[in-house]
Amino acid sequence: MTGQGYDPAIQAERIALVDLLDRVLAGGVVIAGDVTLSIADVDLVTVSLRTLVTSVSALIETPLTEAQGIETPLTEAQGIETPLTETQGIETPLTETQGGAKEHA
Amino acid sequence: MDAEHRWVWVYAVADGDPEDSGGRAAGIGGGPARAIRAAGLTAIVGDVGEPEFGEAALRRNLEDLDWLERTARAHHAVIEAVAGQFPAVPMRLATVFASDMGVAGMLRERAGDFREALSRISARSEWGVKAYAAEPVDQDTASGSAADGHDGSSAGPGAAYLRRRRALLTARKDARREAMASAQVVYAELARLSVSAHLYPPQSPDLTGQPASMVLNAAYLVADERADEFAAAVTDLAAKHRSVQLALTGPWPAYSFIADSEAGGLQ
Repeated sequence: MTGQGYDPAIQAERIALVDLLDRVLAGGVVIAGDVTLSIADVDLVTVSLRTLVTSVSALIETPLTEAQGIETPLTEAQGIETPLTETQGIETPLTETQGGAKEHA
Repeated sequence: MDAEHRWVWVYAVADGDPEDSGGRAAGIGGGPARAIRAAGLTAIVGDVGEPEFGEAALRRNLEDLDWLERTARAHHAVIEAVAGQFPAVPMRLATVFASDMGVAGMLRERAGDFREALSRISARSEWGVKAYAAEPVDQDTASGSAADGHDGSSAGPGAAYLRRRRALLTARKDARREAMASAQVVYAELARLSVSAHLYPPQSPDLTGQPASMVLNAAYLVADERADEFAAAVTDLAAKHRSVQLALTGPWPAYSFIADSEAGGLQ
């Protein structure tokens, strides 16, 4: 993390919340603390995705959503259309939980 | 649990004995970060209060996007400050203990796993690379539509519109297919320069605020001495693959390269 060769112009930019949530909700060490939320990781991600879906749905104008044929904000994010996920057999951390998130949504 | 009860929020576990725990970054709730040492490791923690961070409160607050954003940014700020100085393993958001003793116990219990993870990320950083499908050009608009003079006269403006609309949809589908093929190449090329690569699901346009659809959302663990080379490769690939727009983010603390320990360690 020394950031060698890093363009300071980009660094000054505010980190996108989506990029950050990808990482702090699905990355990092998972250790059961004393407040467990009866989770570990899965429910936390589910809960947060539900938050995002709810918040975003409230913000997005429906005409746009319909025009793009997007049923839920998560449709694109579910990784169904990424050939990389399937062909390379790499597990994406959110894939498993997104079914659940959609049910809640 | 009374309202005065304090909880211990864990940000990261660092190697050795970092003096400046969390630096000047304001921690969660604005409180300073401090260190808990055990087994030769240092946990960077902060004190948080029951009203906001007890089990029920935490569950409720995670549903609140503003709270989630504030908390995620504060969590990240402390981790970034620590990781800028020492190898540090970030904890997933909302790792909360009841006491310092609990944190110290966790350090001792998992010391081997932490060391393994620390050695893996030492002198390396995470870089994010996202690719968006470039929007196809509307041929009719681009060529002035007048090329086919009979278009409007024989079938009427409605049919012309539909034909044009169909052409645009086809172009968009082709562009997306091409973008996905490029994304595969980009992903593989960059993987060669990295120690390890991780794929996240593409982000929804509704969340990114970008109308273009994302075809790649990858994270790479890159040796710090190769950071320049990696960034240059992203620039080269962006020039070579016009069907995608690439975005490079980082350096990040190695969030995405902790859980998938080959030794099965921390997870």
